[in-house]
Amino acid sequence: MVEMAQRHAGHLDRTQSRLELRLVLAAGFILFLVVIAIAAPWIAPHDPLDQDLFAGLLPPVNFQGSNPAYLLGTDDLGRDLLSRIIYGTRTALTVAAVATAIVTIVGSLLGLLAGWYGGWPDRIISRLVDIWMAFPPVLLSILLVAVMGAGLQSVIAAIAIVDWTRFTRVVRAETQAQARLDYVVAARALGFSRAHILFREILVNVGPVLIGLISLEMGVAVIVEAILSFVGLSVSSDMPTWGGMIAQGRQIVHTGWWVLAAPLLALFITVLAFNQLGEGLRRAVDPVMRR
Amino acid sequence: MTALHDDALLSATGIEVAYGAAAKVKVLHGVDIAVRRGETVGIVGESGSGKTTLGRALLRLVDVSAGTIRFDGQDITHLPDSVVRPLRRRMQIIFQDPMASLNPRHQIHRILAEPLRLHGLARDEADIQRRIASVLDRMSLPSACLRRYPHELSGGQRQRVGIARAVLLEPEFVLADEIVSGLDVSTQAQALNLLKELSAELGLAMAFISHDLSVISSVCDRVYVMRHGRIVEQGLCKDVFSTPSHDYTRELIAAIPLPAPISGWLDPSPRP
Amino acid sequence: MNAPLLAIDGLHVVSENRSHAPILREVSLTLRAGQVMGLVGESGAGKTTIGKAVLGMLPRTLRIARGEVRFAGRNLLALPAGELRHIIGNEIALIPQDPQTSLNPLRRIGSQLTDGLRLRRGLTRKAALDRAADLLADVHINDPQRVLRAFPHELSGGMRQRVLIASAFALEPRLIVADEPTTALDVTVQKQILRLIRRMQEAHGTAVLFVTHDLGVVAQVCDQVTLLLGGRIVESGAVSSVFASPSHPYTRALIEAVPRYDRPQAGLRPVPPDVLELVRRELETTE
Repeated sequence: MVEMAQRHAGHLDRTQSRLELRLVLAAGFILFLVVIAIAAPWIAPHDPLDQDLFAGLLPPVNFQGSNPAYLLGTDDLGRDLLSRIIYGTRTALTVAAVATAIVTIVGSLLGLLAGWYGGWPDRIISRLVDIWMAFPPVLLSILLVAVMGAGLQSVIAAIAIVDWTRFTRVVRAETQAQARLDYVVAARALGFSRAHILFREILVNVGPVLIGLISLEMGVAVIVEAILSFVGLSVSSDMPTWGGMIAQGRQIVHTGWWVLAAPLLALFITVLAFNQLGEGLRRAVDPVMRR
Repeated sequence: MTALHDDALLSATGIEVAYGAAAKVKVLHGVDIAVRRGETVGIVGESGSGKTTLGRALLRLVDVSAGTIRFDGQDITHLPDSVVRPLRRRMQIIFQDPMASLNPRHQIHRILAEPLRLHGLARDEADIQRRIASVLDRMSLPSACLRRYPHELSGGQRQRVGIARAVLLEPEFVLADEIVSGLDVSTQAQALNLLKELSAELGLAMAFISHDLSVISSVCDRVYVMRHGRIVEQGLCKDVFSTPSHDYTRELIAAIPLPAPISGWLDPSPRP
Repeated sequence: MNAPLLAIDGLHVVSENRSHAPILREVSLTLRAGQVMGLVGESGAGKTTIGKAVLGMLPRTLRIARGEVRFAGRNLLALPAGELRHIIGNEIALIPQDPQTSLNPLRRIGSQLTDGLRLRRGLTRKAALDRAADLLADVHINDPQRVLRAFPHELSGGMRQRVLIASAFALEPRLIVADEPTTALDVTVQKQILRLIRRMQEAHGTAVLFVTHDLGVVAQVCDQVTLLLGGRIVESGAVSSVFASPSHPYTRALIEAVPRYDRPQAGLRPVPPDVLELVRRELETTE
């Protein structure tokens, strides 16, 4: 009655989508990184591989002894840190994007099928996940790189092959939870096919969980790549990678702390941005969260 | 009773439903029910009576372990899913909680239009829009709600969207599963009246599930009283409520507090 | 002796959010010792809010703009926290709505029932358990010892509600707020629980503020009734007179809208448009 009287004229609540500051900042930063990565050859002040032993270990500007031509300073071989960071963005983003895409598609698909159809598809997939997760991931990665040889493909493969299981488990659980709800029964009662219900009714409701997983995964991918290049298992050593730079910087941290600090900071801020992007995206895009 | 089942639109005999490994938990023990065209049949029971399961079983949303279900003369008990799906247009369900039965991430226009497209009921897109506009008008829903999500509507509006979705497919049978149970008394009356009008206009056969005997008495012609997975009494509403033959029915009736004080209502009923 | 046990005077509660919508508007009511008053209204009418105000449990999103809640002459809203704590749970108790969620699922019934007895009456564990067993017998639980040792999930909804009732009466309060105590129960169980509440109330001389949306329950269980709409009291009085001849059109419309198995045509009488208009105007005034 209360609602009848109040809504009698037909005016309804309209929830506002909230373009939060965090989303704007995070998305902006990621976009900025993408632009840098693509435009690296034009933006980078120096060739990242260019060694100049006379310009070795120069500190970043504003510190004593710095050279304005090298904004972030140089490493012990005289290579410009800023340029190396910029080129390192390419590796980081490529790995993040491709590995996450593979993991998302494979993992989610398997999770959706297992969660919705149940029965023997679920049994097979779940058993597979259980067995797979029993392998130590680091060992798996090393094995892969040993087999496939160093390079971007092996790094991406290493990440994808280890992490798809996490997606499958989470998506399967969420699918099962959604499948129990009345709107799914309603869809069956309306005559929709099982496939239609899975992809056109349930998937959109698994979306929020998926967005969270994806943004986390991108951060994980960047870090795993850094770890692999830290131990020298990543791409060939002529392309600069943040992980490789961290490995190198670690050894000379007492003589040139900036060599370690720059890639660490780049890594940290990038992963932070991915995480915040996920959270902000969920709030902005999900109609239910907007209330 | 066989006569009832013969000219029924939807009927079921000997329905048994069991859950769990090795079918250990039996929820329905041999239930017979029939609904004819144009009549509204009530299914009343308390929690655990099996009334919701019976409703779902009739619509083949739940598998039966024994018994037969006939729709319009055809045995649909074990038909494969692909054959049942086109049939579903003719037998629809309205749920208790529209917040749960409307996809929270679909807008209302999609919720209403997709089933129409699925069953090819409209000639073209314009026809779909026309039908939707017409049903919104019938339900006193503003056209602005088409672009909204379910949580942006009021409870009563959501309920009416659920009803609209069901009747848009021009079904012959509708199962109303506790549809007024969460509503305020004033909104309840509105919803019940709407249902009665629609049922008459569309010549529907309706099964109305409720735990509330009084609600059933105001919309139904016949009633089935359920307890622990069995039907303990059935008959015309006016007969069952005025002269119940089963003890449990008597107990149910005596437990209803009417809005007119009766002295001694709280006292335990004398043991026979 | 003639002073009312509970006197709510001009209670005005508003929401703390941007709209500052009034939740309760100048609500005044009195309840005498031993009386059972039904606080009835549709969803959002404010009946639960009144109950919460009496218990000192208003959420932070609500603010008391003005008014008093006097219990045995003392304004509960002005009491320091320590004194209030002494009264709530001791002299004023609650029978909550949902037996599912009102009991701690990880503690046995006995331990939950004896909390108040040990804390406030200083009973030893054994003495408290004995008293708890007596209380369970009072609420017609056949095997008190078994129930004391049980966890909530091992009991049925009706049993859990009996335990909650036993708990409410344990410290012999003078006033009980019953917040929709039977809404979640089957109708046959509801009747047993209502009978139990009324019996215990009569035996202990406890006053009851019975919050419910069900007019039928009020008619059969309460002595007094207060009908709320949009935070304001629309009608109030003895159950016998209000139901026999309601003075406010909203009251009459609501009573007539309740479906009745003995009058099949009842329940299909929705609220007439002129009353609806009244309702709308009522809700739109911001005072």
